[in-house]
Amino acid sequence: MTIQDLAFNYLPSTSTGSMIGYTAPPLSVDDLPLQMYDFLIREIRTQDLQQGRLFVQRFLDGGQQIWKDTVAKIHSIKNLWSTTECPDEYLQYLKAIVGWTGSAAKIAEGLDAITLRRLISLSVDMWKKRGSETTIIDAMNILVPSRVRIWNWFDVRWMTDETAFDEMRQGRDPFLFSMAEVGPYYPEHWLIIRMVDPGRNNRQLVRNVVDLMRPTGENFLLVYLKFLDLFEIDGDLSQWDVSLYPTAIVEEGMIRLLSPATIEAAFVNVDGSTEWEQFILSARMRCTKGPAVWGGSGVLFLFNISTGNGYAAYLDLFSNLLAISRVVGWVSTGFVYFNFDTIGYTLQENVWYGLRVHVAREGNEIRMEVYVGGELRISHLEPVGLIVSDKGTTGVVHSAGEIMDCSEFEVLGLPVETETVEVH
Amino acid sequence: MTTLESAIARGNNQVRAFFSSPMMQADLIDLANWTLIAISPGAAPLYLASISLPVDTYPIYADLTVSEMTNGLPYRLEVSTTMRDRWGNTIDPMFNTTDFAGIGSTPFVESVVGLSKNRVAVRFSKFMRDELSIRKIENYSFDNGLGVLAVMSVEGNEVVLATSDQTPGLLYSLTVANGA
Repeated sequence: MTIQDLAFNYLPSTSTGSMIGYTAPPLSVDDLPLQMYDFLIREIRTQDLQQGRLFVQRFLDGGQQIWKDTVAKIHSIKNLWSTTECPDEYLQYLKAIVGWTGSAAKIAEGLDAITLRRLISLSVDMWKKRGSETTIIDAMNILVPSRVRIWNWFDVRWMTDETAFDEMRQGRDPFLFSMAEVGPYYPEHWLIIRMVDPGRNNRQLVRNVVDLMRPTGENFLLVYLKFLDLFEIDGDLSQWDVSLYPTAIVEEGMIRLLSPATIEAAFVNVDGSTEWEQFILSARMRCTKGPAVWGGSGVLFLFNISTGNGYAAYLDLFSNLLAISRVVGWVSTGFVYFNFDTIGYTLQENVWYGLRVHVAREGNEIRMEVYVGGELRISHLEPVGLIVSDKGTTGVVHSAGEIMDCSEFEVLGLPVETETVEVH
Repeated sequence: MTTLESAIARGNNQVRAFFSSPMMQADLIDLANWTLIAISPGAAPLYLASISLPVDTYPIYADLTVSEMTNGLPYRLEVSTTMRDRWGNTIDPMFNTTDFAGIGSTPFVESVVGLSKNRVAVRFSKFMRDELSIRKIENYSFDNGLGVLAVMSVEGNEVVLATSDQTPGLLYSLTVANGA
């Protein structure tokens, strides 16, 4: 195949052209010095040098300072269009330029300078592309910023009707997108935005901006999460502590624990995670079968890394079990099980499973519920005297002899925080 | 009966068709009476844009303005047998087609411009086809150690290349190889 124009005429076998290496234009006033004195004609400057002992130049020194300030201001005018360089006091004009006027002006009122800069920086793209889920996610990533995912009714259609392939739904847990059915609206009229917000975000601003991006007649259900990782960027372990098991990697849209030689784990390390007490943890994971009884791959919760105490919920493919174990000083002991033989199902290697753990207080006890594929399989009330850890972080783990991948990991705080943005 | 005698390409976008007899103007300027066919599979399809006639009540030829032809490849011109000469005779169905060789101009590198320290715009003389060949970085090479890292975009007559960092002010020569 050769290089051709639109009429299939060939470029000659060798074509050449030349260019001068790019030279960046001067960026600051210092790169482009302007002196009042230089504007005098050469003859005057020569006389001043030879006979005037540079009197004229010294005479202009004072004016030069004023001149310099003026030139600096002139050169800084371009900063008025820069979301990062624009002085705080002029942001109000920049926000008007990018569309926050009229009825939209209220949204941008009363914002601090940093938030306003974020709003301004996303504005042009938002006005152009608003309506798509991608744009909503991009806008939230800049505005808040937060990790965000969006579900809509059409995403789940294939698993909620008769076209579903199998009961495990490729690890997609219907709970994560259980549809709001508020008021007179049908499920397909809802977009579910799941956004990490431990309470620091400007939720009013989020609601207002989301409201602006309504494609047609949709309603939004905003669900505020404690944690979300979809592993979208290779190598991004910024939300994870892998110091104990540094072999964990993020690639191809998942966190991978691929060393069967030993136990491996990765722990969530975002702010506040060590204090998590009541939550719903969801992980989409797949694993291999271990070589021995009482192994497994799954999730850790209520886990204290410094003591090695906490709990694990895991799939044991060798014994075809789902189990919860107490981990004390890094030693795991299973104590409650669900045997998949009882439902005629055999856990499979490298099949995606949706593993969900509910942890909630009931008096001094802790209720632990474990779901697989959206079905409740274990419900256990941990007695007071046996509680090995009542708060802590979460994570993923596998036993020696196994490997595992996790493509989605989400923690939803209890009580669940949601808001709706409805058609008005 | 009258016949279509010959056709000849007179430039990138013009074909002149000759008839054996002076023709009716009304028939000549009807676009529906003309059909252009690219005979060779490698030839660009040809579209008729307009027809102009010499200052003559009954012209013996017509100039067709067409889309650009592929240089050297054969095309066929076919006219409707309902066209009439000045005496009302129609075109002989045995002689209503004629072949001619297309004329097309060869594209060339018109300019090379540094857009930033590691972006270069290569502008061709004509709009280019956005195909694999024009997006292969192996087809672009600079002297003075400037590497081509990627073809960022192909749009119209412009190809933007990502390069290693250029030395400001240094003269670079680009070679675009074709045939790979």
